[in-house]
Amino acid sequence: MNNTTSHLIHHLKKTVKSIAISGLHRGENPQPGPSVIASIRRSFPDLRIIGLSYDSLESSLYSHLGDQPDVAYSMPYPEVGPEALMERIQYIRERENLVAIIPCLDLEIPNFISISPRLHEWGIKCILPTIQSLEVMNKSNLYSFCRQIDVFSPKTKPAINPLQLESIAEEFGYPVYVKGRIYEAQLANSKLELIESSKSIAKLWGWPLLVQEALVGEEYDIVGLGDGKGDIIASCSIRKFQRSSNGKGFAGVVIEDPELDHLAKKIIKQLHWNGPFELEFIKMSGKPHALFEINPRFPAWVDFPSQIGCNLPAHLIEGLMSKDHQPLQACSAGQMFIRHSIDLVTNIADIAEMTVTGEYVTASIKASPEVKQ
Amino acid sequence: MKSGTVNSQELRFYGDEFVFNTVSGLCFRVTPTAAFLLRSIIDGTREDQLITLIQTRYGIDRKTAVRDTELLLNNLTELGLIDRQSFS
Repeated sequence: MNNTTSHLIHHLKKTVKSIAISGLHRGENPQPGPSVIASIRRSFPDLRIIGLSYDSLESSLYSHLGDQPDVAYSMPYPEVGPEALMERIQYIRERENLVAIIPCLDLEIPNFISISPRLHEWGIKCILPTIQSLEVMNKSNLYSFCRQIDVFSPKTKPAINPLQLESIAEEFGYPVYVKGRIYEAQLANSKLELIESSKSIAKLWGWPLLVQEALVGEEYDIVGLGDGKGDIIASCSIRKFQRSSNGKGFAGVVIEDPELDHLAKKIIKQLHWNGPFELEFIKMSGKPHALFEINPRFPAWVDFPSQIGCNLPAHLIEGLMSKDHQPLQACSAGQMFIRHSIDLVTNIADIAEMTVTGEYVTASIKASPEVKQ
Repeated sequence: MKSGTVNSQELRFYGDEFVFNTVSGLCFRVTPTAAFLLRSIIDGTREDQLITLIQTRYGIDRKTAVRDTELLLNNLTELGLIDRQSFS
């Protein structure tokens, strides 16, 4: 990078308001960040976007498709705790005019809640659920919460050791899902598979594990924004039209189901949910919709409703930056998305830059007319 | 017999061979005869009238029309596209 480029990039950092977004990898298990960035750029093309990156191979760092950040900073893993997160945000704000953060990974949310008073002091806005509502949506507590509010949900129990795991699986009857406390789920059709799955999940996420009865049916997802007072600002419901081998929706079609809308309102009202959410349901024939997961963030498919007039990330930004809200359109049944994988071209020099320095100016910014002049 | 189906308002047709349920998000490739039957049900045709319609449209005897209509209605019920109870 020559001196002029360097000077201009520095100038951009100082003057332009920026927002930070995490979860930047698209791939087999796509994270929401690139989709959130693409949505925001549809309404705010000039907004500077900072990527909070946990891995120098996160794909959107090297994208040219409008779903990439302008600059990225490597971040400490969430397991390290809120102090490390705070220090890194402090480092970034010394270099950037950071005004808002949209965390896009489940694991980060508790740390962001912990440091939210400091973010407030620094004038950095971040819409987060309360720690209480986060506790309720926790995989271990979701079943009892659903029972309290009379929403159907698959039976789920925690197991602290292999013996208890087997006993719960016997009680539910095979097949069952074995789940990590935070991530990962595997279907076990037998005791043997149960043992294998529990070993691999516990190795990554530790005990306790969760055993969940396996419901077989159609999967439905709702993405929305809660206003923190019990209402849903806007939402979009889809049926997962095509699922990958690990259950990710690689195609979805908009549905208009008053029953599902009613359930979503009931759940969000109870939680007084603040900010983005994803509700995941399964529907067995002849049974009501069963809620099996609440995610405290936008899903990876959020740019789909954005493209049909329901831009929830942009709506969130409008609120965070005290701008007038653009009207959100209702998504109509039949509109659908199909995920399309492509190959991004980059250079090992870019990976090296991010790996060694922990900071990376993305190619699109390096090539922008202001920087080129 | 009453006419109509529980799901009729939810069905969207794309030509004569593709039906989308806007509530469940499920879609179906159907035969033109099934689409004709579904459309007739949505228009309020009763089950006994359906048999006559099928008989006339395809120039078949009454016994065959009764059997084919019954089979088709059973299939459509099984797929959740109609609710047979609303007929009886």
